[in-house]
Amino acid sequence: MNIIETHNLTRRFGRTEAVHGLDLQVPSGSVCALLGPNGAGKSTTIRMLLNLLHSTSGRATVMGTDSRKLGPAELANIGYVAESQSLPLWMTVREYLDFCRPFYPRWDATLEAKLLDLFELPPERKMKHLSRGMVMKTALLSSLAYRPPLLVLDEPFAGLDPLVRDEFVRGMLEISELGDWTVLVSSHDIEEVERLCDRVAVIYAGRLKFNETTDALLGRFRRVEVTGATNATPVSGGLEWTQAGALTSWVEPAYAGESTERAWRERFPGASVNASPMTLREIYLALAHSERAGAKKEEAA
Amino acid sequence: MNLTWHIVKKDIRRFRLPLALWVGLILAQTILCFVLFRWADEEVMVLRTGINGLDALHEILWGMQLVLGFFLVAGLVQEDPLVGQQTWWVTRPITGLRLLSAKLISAVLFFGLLPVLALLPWWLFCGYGASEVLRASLQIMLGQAIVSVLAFGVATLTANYSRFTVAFLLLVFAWICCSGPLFAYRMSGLSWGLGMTRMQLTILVAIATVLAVIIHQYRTRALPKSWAILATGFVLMLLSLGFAPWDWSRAIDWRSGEPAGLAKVVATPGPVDLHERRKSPYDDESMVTMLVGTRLEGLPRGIAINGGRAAGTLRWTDGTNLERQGWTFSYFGPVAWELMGASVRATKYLVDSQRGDLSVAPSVAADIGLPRSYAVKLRERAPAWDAHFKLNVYAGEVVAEVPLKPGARDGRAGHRIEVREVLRFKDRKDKGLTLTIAETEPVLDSDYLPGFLTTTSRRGTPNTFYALVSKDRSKIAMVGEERLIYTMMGTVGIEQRRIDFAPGLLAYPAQPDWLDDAVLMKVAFYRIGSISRAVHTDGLEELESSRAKPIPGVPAPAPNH
Repeated sequence: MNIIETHNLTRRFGRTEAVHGLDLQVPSGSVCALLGPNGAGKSTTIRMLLNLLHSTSGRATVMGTDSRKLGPAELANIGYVAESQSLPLWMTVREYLDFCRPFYPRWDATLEAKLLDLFELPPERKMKHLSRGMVMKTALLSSLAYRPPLLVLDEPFAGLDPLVRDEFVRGMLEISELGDWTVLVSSHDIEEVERLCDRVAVIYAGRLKFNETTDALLGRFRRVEVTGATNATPVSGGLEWTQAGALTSWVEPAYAGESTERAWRERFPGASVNASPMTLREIYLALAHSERAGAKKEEAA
Repeated sequence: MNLTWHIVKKDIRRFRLPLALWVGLILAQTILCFVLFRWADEEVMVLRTGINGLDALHEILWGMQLVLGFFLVAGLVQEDPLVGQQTWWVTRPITGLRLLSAKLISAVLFFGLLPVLALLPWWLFCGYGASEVLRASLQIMLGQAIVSVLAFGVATLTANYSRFTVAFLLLVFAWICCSGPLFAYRMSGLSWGLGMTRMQLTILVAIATVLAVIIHQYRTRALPKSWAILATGFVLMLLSLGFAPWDWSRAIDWRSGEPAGLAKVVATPGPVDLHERRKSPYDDESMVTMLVGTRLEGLPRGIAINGGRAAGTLRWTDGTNLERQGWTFSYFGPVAWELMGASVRATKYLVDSQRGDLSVAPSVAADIGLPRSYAVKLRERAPAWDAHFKLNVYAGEVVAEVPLKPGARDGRAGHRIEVREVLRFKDRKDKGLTLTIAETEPVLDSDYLPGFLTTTSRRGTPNTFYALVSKDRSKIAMVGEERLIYTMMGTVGIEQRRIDFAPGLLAYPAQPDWLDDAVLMKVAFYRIGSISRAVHTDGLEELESSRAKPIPGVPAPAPNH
């Protein structure tokens, strides 16, 4: 069952199309990363999902409800943390939690205390006197304490220094063991996301490029290096094709194990073919470079 | 409801400091009121200068309160903004309508209840009863609401103070630019009623527009549509101001109807008194003044007639008709004396040729401009007179009765009088005296309630009447008043008055044999409605005293006239 579904979701700002015909599914129980460069449309998508922004066309359902009709009942089951969110910084951490608590019938005071301790937050300090990371952790705490089935994080690592970022991720990993959450996290910090997610959706220029499990993604992408093949022609579907003398390399997005390797050996007879696994970051960069090159070609055309 | 109160409590906590400052400004003004009321100085100039200074300070404090209140409303709304995608409450289980309810409750508490509570000690000091407190509270809240609703509306469309200020100034600028030509070309020369209706309708449309914007924003947060609603309302306001054809002034003036118990009041026409118009640049030299006396009989005790309009036609047997209209005037004195319990009977001092015999029944005089040629005609032959009077009805009540001793005080219904000084001058031939008093009275303060709304208020600013009355009520002295200082604060007028007993003021000169036992009495007359009466006479006679007066261009009447 998908906890989030979008169908042809589109949002325009004047002539600019921030999100174009997005069809996204996030299965229940998954931790899904929405990846993409700045301006790809990640935050716009999330804001449409949470009814912070209306779509120009298409529709989205969150927990089975049209996102435009999300009411208190649905929002009581959704946790949302965004880097850009303006919180009431004049409150102390304690006051903020005290304010949020009555709105959630399922608020877990024990979990609140545990997270307060885990995040090492000073309860009596005003949020305006906290570091950015602390404020983000406060926001995360206030969005977790009622054990929402769905947690949406929009650029939660932006602006955090590496140490805080690491603490934040570790905190997320620790709390992931405390409940059964579905998490949608948008970011362009791939290393952090890689530690958290079991599913990746990549969005580029408002378009969804793919949406699959991390395992499947890592499994189908390979960096291929062929030594000894001269005048080789680019492999269909390959990304970042380069040839320098006898060394030819590309990124294969459809690696299927032995059958793919056999096909390469047949294509480059006598050459040495080496296919190495890629990290999520490498995959993402390969895709991004490829998209950028494609966009430049289109512009030139 | 608990969750709504939860948000209200959060807002109270958020704004406790600016609110304290805001209430402090109100309290500071209240303290100024006490000072203004208490200040005494033998030198009138010193008193006036000092009190004018305090009055200016009061105005400054009031201005600060207005500006601070305006931005406080904006802050209250923008604490949980409706504009932008960063607002955090939207992703919490809080509906827009719940938030709106909370904000409205907060606004009523902050800008309605708090000022009322801050002013309550002052009102009680002034002698306000429950009804005066209620009336003044409503007045304060209504006045405050007009400011608050406007700020509230603009704040729902903006994300922060700077945008709020810019949007507000732009709206004001747009309104001035668009309404200016309408005021110049569509509002000039209108009847009072039509002009007033257009103003009130415009205000009504403005409030409805702002309310629609507020509700729409809280329900949908669809900013472009909310601006569209505002723009539509803006256009409707301009249309109302420039083109509304209706005159609703009578319908919405709660005091315009005929009060109960006046059905038996009969108006009978009296004589005419012709005068040469006073020479002034505004007087039409071709006109003379025709004062038409009309007696009113059957008025209940304590009810007085004062002011109004008369429209009538003079008809001569030769077929000449002349339609004229004018203002009417009258005199509160006899009704006030009656309320004071004074057994005063008519004497030569109290018979006024312009108003008839004041001791028998209240009379009104219609002041009508008459072309000089028609004045000649009137002296030649008495015309018939068909007229219609619309007269203001006032109910009087004794609100203070103070002995003539320094420090003596009395008062009720918001009228508090304290005697400051009793001066008797040995060299005064009339053996009179001069009193200095400080007093308060409830008013419709335009600081709090814009003037155009005062017509819709059930009880306006009183007309007051003072007299010295002997304890046995057998003697009365009318007084000449001089207002030394006057200021208004929160529905209360504060003044210090010098009351002089001098001859030549339609008065019994005060006499030392009874002044020691006399009390100063004050009667307040409140307008309670109006009556309309038709009068008719076949022959409109001129007063004998009038006939003897020479009027240039109008020959004296024939002796057998």
